Amino acid sequence: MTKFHFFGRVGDITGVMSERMEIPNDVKDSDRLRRWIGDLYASFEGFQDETIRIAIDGEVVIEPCQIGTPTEIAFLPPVGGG
Amino acid sequence: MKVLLTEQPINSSELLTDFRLGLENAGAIVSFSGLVRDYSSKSEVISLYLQAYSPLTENGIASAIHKAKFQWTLSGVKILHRIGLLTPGDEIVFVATASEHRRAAFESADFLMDFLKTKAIFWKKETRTDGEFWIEPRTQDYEDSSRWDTSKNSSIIA
Repeated sequence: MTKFHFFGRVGDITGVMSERMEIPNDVKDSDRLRRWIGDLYASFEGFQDETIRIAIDGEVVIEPCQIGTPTEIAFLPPVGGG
Repeated sequence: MKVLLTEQPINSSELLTDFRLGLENAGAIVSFSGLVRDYSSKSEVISLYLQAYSPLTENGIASAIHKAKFQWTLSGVKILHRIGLLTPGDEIVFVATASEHRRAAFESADFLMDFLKTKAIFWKKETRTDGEFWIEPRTQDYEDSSRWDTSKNSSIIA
């Protein structure tokens, strides 16, 4: 099982901030991951937004990339504090 | 180097006093306190909610402090950032830098604030009288931050 985090406005799409899910065997790269998650939460376009970055096991990845067998995946919309 | 995230209220006066007590060889201290505004461009702000993603958030800020210490000679840096629910008037961030002379302290504090506004891993949601809105950096924030691009501004590492 992989723990997914949905931060900022992405959490508004999913309705949850985090969830544990099994990644299907055919979801092996970041493009397929975005399509699978988008379909899952009925927001294909929302997860194709390239301003939303992906972090795998605590590292923001450069896409496209293989996702491996992660413990944790996070979807990160544009950030800013202060 | 100290980077802290907190859900507790920030007291800048106490932080500044503590920061000063821990310094050696400092001739200048610059501190910045950011406050939650009670208005946006369209309506009144009721509250502000901040999310962070630990430890990425802390590691990112620590990396920015490392860059600041590489570019300026600093005798101290302290950053404390609120997370969770805030209301107008609350202090959202405290940044302090210290150096032998004032320019390094001013510029490094400015650099760190630009980093926090555009690159630090936080998400901010405003609850206003006209609804709830995630706040992302403005064009002006990105322009401010780009001032520190060393390929454009070699003077900051001189």
